[in-house]
Amino acid sequence: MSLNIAQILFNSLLTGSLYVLAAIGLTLTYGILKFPNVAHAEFITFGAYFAYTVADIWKLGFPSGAAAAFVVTGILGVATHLFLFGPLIKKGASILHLTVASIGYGIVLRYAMQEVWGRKDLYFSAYYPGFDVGPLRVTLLWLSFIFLAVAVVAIFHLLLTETKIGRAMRATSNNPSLAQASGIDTKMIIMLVWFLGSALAGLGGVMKASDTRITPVLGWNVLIMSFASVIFGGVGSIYGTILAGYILGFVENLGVIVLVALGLSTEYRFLLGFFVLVCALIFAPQGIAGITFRSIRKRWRAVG
Amino acid sequence: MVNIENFILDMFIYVGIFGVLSISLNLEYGFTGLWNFGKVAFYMIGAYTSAIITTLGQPFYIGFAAGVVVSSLAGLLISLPALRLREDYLGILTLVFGEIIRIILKNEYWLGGPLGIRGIPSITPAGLDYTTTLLVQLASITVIAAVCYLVAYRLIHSPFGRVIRGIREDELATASLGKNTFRYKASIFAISSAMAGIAGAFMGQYVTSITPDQFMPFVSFTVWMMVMLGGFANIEGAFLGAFLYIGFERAARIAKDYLLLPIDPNNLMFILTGLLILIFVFLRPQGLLKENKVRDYKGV
Amino acid sequence: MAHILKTDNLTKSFGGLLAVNNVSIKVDEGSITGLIGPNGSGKTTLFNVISGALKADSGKTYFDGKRIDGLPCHLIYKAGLVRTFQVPRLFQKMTVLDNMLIAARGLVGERLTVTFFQSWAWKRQEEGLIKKALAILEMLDLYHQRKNLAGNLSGGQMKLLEMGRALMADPKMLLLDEPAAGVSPLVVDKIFEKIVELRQSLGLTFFIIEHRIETLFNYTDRVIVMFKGQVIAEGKGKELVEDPKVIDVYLGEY
Ligand SMILES: Nc1ncnc2c1ncn2[C@@H]1O[C@H](COP(=O)(O)OP(=O)(O)OP(=O)(O)O)[C@@H](O)[C@H]1O
Ligand SMILES: [Mg+2]
Repeated sequence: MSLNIAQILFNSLLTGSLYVLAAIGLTLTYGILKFPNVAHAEFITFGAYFAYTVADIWKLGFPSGAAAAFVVTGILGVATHLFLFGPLIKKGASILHLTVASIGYGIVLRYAMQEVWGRKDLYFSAYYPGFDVGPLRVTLLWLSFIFLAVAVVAIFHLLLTETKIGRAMRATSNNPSLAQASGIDTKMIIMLVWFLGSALAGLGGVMKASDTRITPVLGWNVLIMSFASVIFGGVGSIYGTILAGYILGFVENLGVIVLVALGLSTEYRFLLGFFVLVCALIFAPQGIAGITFRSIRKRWRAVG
Repeated sequence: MVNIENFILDMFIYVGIFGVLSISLNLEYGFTGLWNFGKVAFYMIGAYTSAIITTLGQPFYIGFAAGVVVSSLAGLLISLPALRLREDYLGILTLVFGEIIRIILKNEYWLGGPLGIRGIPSITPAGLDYTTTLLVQLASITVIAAVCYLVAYRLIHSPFGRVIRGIREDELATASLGKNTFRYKASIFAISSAMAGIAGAFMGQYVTSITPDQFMPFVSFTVWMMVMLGGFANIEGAFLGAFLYIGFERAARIAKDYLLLPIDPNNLMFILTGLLILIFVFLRPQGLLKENKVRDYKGV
Repeated sequence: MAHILKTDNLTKSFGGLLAVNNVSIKVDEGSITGLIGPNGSGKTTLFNVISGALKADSGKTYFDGKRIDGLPCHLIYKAGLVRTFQVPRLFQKMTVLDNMLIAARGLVGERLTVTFFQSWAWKRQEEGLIKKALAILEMLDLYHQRKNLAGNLSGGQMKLLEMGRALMADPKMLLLDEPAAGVSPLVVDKIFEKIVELRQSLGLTFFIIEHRIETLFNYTDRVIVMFKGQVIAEGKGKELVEDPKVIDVYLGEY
């Protein structure tokens, strides 16, 4: 079998873009509110279903579907905070109870979606034929998603470094209480984070679905890799998560080739995510940013 | 129309199975503070191990014993790296672990593949009528649950139980008082996983066929629901929670035969479960029953 | 007199901040030694490093003739060095008596075989321990609280219970981090009198962080002064008051 390195890299970029979109919101809420929001998976699924409704039921076309999914999933995220996690945090709920609440909420969302959209797989009608660019087989859709994800990364970078709101956001996700003490309106920032994070997750869902199909477990299947990106990248660190997302995309695509070569099911690519997650948890719990040779050796000794 | 007697017997068999799972999660989270969102993994390992061994012709007790041993070893194995982690990371790791085991079982055809394992020999002799079969099954799970209860009872009402509560409250303080906290956590993980394993082994022979998709993460979440209903750190509450939740589920299942719902009853059931979790988190996060004391110190 | 505790160039930093910087100290066996210094001078961090709660970046610690740096907390406890925390770390949802009993040394009931099959063994052992715990609680004026949850105690009582818990562990040496903080002035003297008494009756060594200079000078044999992570002076109470470095630090601070 001849390896098409360029294609692998391209596919990694595509997969990585999905994880980046899916994980940014997760890392931000995890960093600021300190609990892993398991319901984040359902935001991803919701984005896909909503885009389907707009694009193929209301027949407004795929681009408007994606745009509407972005906005409406963002609003869903804000509503989630306003009506669920916000009040719970105010009541002094522990991190465990917030996590359990996110599980319960995720169940409600998932089956509400199943009620609305049914259990059968759905497909976007938009079709994007593949064409060759040099050694690469691409589609317009793939290209636009990579472009979109890279644009998101660039916009986030500008937002974080060049604007007051962005700096406040970074400060809040690094150290919420310190940020509040230094006069940042953390409430507003948290709303913004919920909006952007959920909106991007919804967009990620659209991306995943447009390439495959929409199922009730769409988001759940992306969640493991999202958590892996978040923890590998360092909880709360946007840059770390972006980097980790692309690394995981690469590992997965390379891994699939290895799995095929070994005659194993490609479903085992989840194992790779798991493997990376475990390694990240054990050797670099601070994320990529915290990795040094010494810290790895120390951790290894602590484990052994 | 189902036979109401059998319906109730079947329900109590499941209360027994899930009561054992709830005790096991209560030992981990309620008493020791270990987040395990992957309880289903050890339930699944127990079920599969026993099913494979008994379908190969071994007697059920060998199957059960193997299920217990393998789950408990799996618990120990994952505890080695996992127990040094922050609590929320442990939660994520265990959750993912359950999914990984399920995916492996689904993709390995020699372990049954997506269709799972069928024709698992039941512990009840053939030829009994259905009600008697259920009675024998109920008696067996009652014995299993009683043993698990007793194990948990001895654990939590002892100096060992005091130490694990200490770990839950403040691990550094506990270590500073001379306890090798890692050893305690690993022991609890192994014991609890063994309990989940026997629950799984029993369930497998009761329903006589298992598939990977019976072991979705939702199973772990229902166990959390039961523990939260009954009360954290209360082993009697584990059974109460299992009874309440399964009773609720069965009642809903009967109700749907008589009510005309505008919504798919299956979806409704899940949505109600999710809402129940949210209601409890809001209104009674500690559960119905209070924590078990270490000792009463009568006359002190 | 022999040194029961000795550190060699202990260093611990947080990021760029050198919280403990090349600290070499000696504590005499059977002494009551004080540790003083302005806020943030690294006293608590030094205790954390000695007791194994934090790993030192470099340096050595000897206790009772053995090297203990790098050992996990529970082995340092086993060696006989027991500490309390500045902010009490009690087991809030456990009773006062349970908080005491958990600290006892050599509990047979912590073994699983005993737990499952020989509960009489740990119950018998615990009878004696309960008596001992109640005696300590009585001494600390906490007897009436024995069956209450530790989380319901007042701040001062929590500090006392922390000390009681440490005493329950039959230590050779105690590291007490501000044992009398948040306690009324009258009780402060009582606590220190108890400490002196315990040293006499049990031969314990005490190493105590305390902010009240007067108290320290009244009850300790020797005082070590830390400032910005370093030991800047040590000696008998009255000599230190004249030490220009100490005066500098304290006049600079207050
Ligand atoms: N875990 C930690 N992470 C980062 N910095 C720390 C940590 N613990 C202590 N520090 C810093 O180290 C320095 C020394 O702190 P330490 O608590 O040892 O002082 P201290 O002498 O006990 O002060 P106090 O009298 O207020 O108790 C302080 O600047 C503190 O902010
Ligand atoms: Mg201090």
